[in-house]
Amino acid sequence: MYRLDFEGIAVVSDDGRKLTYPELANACDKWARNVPRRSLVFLLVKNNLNSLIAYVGALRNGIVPLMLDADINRDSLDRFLDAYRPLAIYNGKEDSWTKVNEDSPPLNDELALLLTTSGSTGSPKLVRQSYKNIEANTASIIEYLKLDATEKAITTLPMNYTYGLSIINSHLNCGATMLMTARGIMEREFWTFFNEHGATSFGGVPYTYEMLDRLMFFRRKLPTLRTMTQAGGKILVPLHEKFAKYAAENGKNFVVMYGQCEATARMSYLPPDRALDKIGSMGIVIPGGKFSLIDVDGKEITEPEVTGELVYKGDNVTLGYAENAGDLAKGDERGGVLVTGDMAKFDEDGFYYIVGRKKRFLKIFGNRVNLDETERLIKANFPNLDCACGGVDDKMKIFVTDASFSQQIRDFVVDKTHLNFTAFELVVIPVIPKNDSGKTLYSELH
Amino acid sequence: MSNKEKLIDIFVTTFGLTPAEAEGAVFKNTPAWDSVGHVNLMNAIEEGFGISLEPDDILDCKSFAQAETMIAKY
Repeated sequence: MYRLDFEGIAVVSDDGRKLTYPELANACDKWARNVPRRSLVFLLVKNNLNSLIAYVGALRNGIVPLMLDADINRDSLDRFLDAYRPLAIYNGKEDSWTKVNEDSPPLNDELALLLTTSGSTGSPKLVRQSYKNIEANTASIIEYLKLDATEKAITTLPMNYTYGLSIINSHLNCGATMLMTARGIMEREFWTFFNEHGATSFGGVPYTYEMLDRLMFFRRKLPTLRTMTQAGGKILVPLHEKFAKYAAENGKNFVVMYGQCEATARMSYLPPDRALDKIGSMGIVIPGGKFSLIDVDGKEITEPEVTGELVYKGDNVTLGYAENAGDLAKGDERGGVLVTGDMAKFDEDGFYYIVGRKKRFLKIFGNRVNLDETERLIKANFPNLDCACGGVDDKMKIFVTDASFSQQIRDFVVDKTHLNFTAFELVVIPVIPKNDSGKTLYSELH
Repeated sequence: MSNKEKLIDIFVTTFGLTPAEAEGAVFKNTPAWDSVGHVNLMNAIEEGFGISLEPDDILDCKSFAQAETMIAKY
């Protein structure tokens, strides 16, 4: 993992800096020089060269990073600091170190990396990923996307997000080039950088594709583009069709994928040559993995078009969760089996489709937001207020019985989740529907 | 209502600002004006003014002042 024994350009940054593989290896090891192996360091990252050097430097040198957004609010950061007591914080936006503890908590030998479960609502719960997890998932991705040293991937997703990280992992472990920019697709500078360096691929969550559609992406001349990947939630069928068609007509690949942070990143992909005839599908299992569907009695489903809970087996199934520093010494708790919490079916050709979720959460702009947790947070912060959360991906509905707190509740949730306020709609209803035992009847909320 | 007043209204509603804040709004500095907010703003402008924006204008419109200039073109 991260041997970096390639020639050629490893990374181009939008500040004009360029590093070859040997230069990147040097910079990474220099970054790690004063940090003892097997210590915990918080990395506050942006899509820039310093953050990349720190991440790769940590993984190459047995330093375990917790990846966090450099713009994380102080309260959330404090919660992580209290829970995990790292040796130091490195800020990749400012290229600065802060030593916070005399030593590091004991770390399990297999532990490589810690990530939050996407857009968490401030919960300090982390996913523990091992070296073997990252190696296995990276190798699968390189294989099914057929990546090689001629690829140039441009950043479109945060580095503290497992999907963004998987793009970096897969490209820097096959000799390809990473184009690092903190600019987004809604900025002209992004497209200038894209064209100047001839990007060959990018990834996006469903909302990314909605924005591209809004920008009349299909009119844009992007001769170097080869592949667009999509993950981080189920893309709407019309949008899937639009991009699959564009790809087919322009000699490009559109690859719909499925994954979770708990499986390092990826579990399935829809081969691009099937993108048009399997619209709505998240494809087939990645190389080295195995899917099964389990019915309510715990039996494996063998018939097509029958819904069950999706279970994944593979070397990329992560070690487990952590909720405090003590958990970082724990070993593998899953044994390579992940019960995904997603309800799925397969068709007669063996292509999988997500049909629902067992757990109550939404994907908002690619971030997982737990509805029950959001409810608990609101109730804790606004005592005597009854509320219930529901809605659909990219649009959470918060049902309340008292209009006077609407604005405050919305501000509060925006602050906790760091998501655009338009993702949250406050709905005032006379009473929250409940059954006899006091449980909220979510199916009656509209 | 003048175009400017209409635009202030759109900024106030889209980003939850006061009219004074609206006139000084800048992409990425105004909290709700991130990439998601940008799409919301462009949709609101198209709807409010009954126009259809060119992709280049969408990429270049990054402040209240630029939005004003942009609308004058249509």
